[in-house]
Amino acid sequence: MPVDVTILVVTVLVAVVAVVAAVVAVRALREVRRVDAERTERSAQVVAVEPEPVLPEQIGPAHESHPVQVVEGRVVATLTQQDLLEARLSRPLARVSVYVHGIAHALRPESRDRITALMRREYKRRRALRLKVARRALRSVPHETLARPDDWMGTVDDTDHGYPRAVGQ
Amino acid sequence: MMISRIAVFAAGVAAGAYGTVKARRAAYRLSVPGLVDQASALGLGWRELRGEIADGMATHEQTQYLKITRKQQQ
Repeated sequence: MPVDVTILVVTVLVAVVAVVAAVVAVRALREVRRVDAERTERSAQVVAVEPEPVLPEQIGPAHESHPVQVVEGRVVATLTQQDLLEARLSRPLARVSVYVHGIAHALRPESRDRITALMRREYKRRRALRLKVARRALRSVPHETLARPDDWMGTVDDTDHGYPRAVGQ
Repeated sequence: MMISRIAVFAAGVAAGAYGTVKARRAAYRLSVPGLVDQASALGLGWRELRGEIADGMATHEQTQYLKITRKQQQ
């Protein structure tokens, strides 16, 4: 078999394989698109069937004895008035509002002045206490320990009074 | 003449006493015990502020609670 005929046969085979592969790819793409469309349609149906919101008027005292009921295989919790109120007050905006009101309450002039005066009084009390303790400690030391000798002028004081000495002395 | 000298002397004594007291207080404030005292007072103030904030929050929550309850009853 001559070389040119062999190359021609191989080329034909490759072309056939390429055509088959293209057909398979196009079919797979169509299948994927169809599945996606079905999924989108199904999710749209789920969103469309949204349950009705439970209004506080629909919840009466008849349900309060059974807070959790099973209706058609689904667990339905009956909300009490208290639950609804707590849910309403625990919304982020409501919480922020509560925080802001608390801070505004704390920063009123009367609260501010009270806290400032309290801090100032605490500081003065602690300072007075510290000075008092220091004075008492000073008084507890014998007078002779702190008294300087009278003959300091012209003499060298080499007596050891038992003072605490600094490093290097 | 004599009176003005006495007045100047008294003013000097007063200014000296005032300056000494202020300087001693400033020195105490900048010392370690003074800083500790200030930190302690600051902590007390912070605790009080937190208490006030909690009070304000509780008051506002109670107000909102009553407002919602009243609206639902109407």
